[in-house]
Amino acid sequence: MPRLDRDKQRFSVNTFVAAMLALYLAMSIGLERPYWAIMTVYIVSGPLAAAVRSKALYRFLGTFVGAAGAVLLVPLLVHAPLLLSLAMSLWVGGCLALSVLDRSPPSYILMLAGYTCAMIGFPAVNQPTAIFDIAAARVEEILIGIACAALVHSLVFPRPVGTALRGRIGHWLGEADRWALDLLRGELAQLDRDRGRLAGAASEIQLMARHLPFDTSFLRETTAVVRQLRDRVLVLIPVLASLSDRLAALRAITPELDPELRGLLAALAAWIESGAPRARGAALITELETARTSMSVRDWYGFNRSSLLTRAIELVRAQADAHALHAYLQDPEGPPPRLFGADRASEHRPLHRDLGLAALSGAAAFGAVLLCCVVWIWSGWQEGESAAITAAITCCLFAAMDDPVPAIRKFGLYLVAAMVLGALYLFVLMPAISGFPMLVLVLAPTLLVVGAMIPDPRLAFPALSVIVNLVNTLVIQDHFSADFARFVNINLSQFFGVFAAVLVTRTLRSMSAEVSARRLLRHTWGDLARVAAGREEDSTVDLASRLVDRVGLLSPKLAAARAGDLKGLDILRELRVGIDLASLRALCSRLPPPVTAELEVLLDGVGARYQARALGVPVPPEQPLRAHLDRLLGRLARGDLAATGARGLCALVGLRRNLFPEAAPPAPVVEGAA
Amino acid sequence: MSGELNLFGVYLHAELVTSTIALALTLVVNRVLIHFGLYRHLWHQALFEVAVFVILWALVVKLSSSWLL
Repeated sequence: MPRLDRDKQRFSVNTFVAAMLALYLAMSIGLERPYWAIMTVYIVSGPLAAAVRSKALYRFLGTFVGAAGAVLLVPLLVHAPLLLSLAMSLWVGGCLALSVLDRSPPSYILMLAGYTCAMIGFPAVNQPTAIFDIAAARVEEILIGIACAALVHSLVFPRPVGTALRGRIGHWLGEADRWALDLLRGELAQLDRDRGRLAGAASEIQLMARHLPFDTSFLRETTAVVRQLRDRVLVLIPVLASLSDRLAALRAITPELDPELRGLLAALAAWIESGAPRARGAALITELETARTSMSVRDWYGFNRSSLLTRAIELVRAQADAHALHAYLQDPEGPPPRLFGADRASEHRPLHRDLGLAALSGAAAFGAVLLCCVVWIWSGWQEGESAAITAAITCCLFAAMDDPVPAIRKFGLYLVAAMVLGALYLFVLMPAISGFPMLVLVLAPTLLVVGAMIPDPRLAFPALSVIVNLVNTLVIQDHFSADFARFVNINLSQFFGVFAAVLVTRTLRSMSAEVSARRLLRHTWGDLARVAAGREEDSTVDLASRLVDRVGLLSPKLAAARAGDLKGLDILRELRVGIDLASLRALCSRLPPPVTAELEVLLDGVGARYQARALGVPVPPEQPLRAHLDRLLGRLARGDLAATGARGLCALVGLRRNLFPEAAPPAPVVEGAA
Repeated sequence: MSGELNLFGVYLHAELVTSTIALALTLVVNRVLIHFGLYRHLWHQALFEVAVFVILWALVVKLSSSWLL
């Protein structure tokens, strides 16, 4: 049994107060379904005040769009029920597909627009002339719920998202520091720890930061700082991953490294341990640069060493900036910190998106809703609307999962629990009471107990399902006297909706973690092919954001996958390759023309290999590509190692390490040979 | 003041309309205050926001009843 701590109690009481306030207001201005206001309060509420406020805004917009859709569709098509069903299912499916495509919080708007249209439109088919009044009443009920939830959660002991976010970022930076220290000190036993988690946490930070402008604390003024920090976080993961790879390569050649490098790595570790101050960081960068130019690069060891030092410089820059920004977040008085990198960051970075999966989710919702409608129309079952609505809601709510079927089934199970509770309320308690205070007293025990479970991530889903379904049941008595036949009918109809959702979803889009992981990998390869071919328009940080997000999504799936070839897959490899490819592409125009031409050939070859992997066709042989890469490496090494050449060399070494990890090191460069 | 407001032939609760206007105004005022960095000097910012909203709502209702309705 999870502990019932203060925060949970407070959350439960807050939400209950907001719900009762909403119920009272809705009843006092004579809205016909006041229980909808309660339902809205519970759906919007969450432990973080800012998230409640942003969700409130999104829910308002979504409800509005959905209601507008219902007003538009129902009167137009009400005389052709099949056409209307088709249009409504298309609306739900289309909205859901667009919403799944974008995983950020605002995508909630479209998901709601989808199922709100069904919730408002389907019950109105029997009275199409009143559709506008019905829609306006629903919107008002939902608005009251939203307003009460936002009000109570912002006023009574709000938990600002800013502080939570700050804690998350601090924790993340601590983990990144530990990773850096482990690899600099060569504590190999620690290196195997799951670093993919760090990528997932980075995406979580990114999503959480979207709520920051809605915060209840002055930390919302720091939105710009958090964005800069987010960019540093996105850079740190690939940089650390390549550092670790280069160090492994060097240690494979000479386990104790050369003395100068050893000294530098120790200095770097000491610097990170002291909290990455900027002044010492600038000095470290100079030292690292001198070390890179001082030693002539002739053999594989030299190549890797130069590449390592380039990445170490990037590490110092990103770490110093990240720590300075984090310190500024803790105490935002005074001037903003001086940074090594850009001090402007774009508003949002793109995350992984999967067009095919989004389309499938939309199609599943479309199919489920349509199936319910067809049964509803042909059977003439009066309560069939509940089935269509339930199908729309369940398909929408769980669309983000790999396999929504177990969740939908559980939703059906919680429906039973809610039904029992609902029957108790409708037929035993409600007839015995009168007046608002009694109603509050009667509702209090259930809502308070179940509400306390919502902040717990494991219990949130069952708790919310029970509350929403229970309140949904109570709605019946607004319209009709508690009639047992109707009660059973509606619940049966809801079960049919759940059943239709399970049936359609299972045939269309359920996938195992393994299939989903392969899908993510294929998307990554497609991205890499695009970057190599120079068809990628996003900036490097945007690319890093997408790749890091995929790593974060992949790592739990790989842990769950049983297939042998997915076990032990180095998921950071594609991330490193992506960054190397992007920097090589950027260099293309700045190198001497003959080198550029050779580089183009190499990039095209790499792109073709990834394209083939993405499409699942046989991959071209690696031998010619590797020979070409080695020739290019030699050419760059012989040239003068100015900043561009060093960066190109760094990326090429990275590419060779990650594309051909098992290949023997290339031959040393002979002076004067062509 | 209570009753319904005729908005382009659509009848809506007057409270709904006035409060939406007041909310929009509150957001604008908030933007300005955030820009000037006032919020870090406040004890309970959400409470302050609600107070601003209530004041603006009262103003909107007052003005709308004398000018519009």
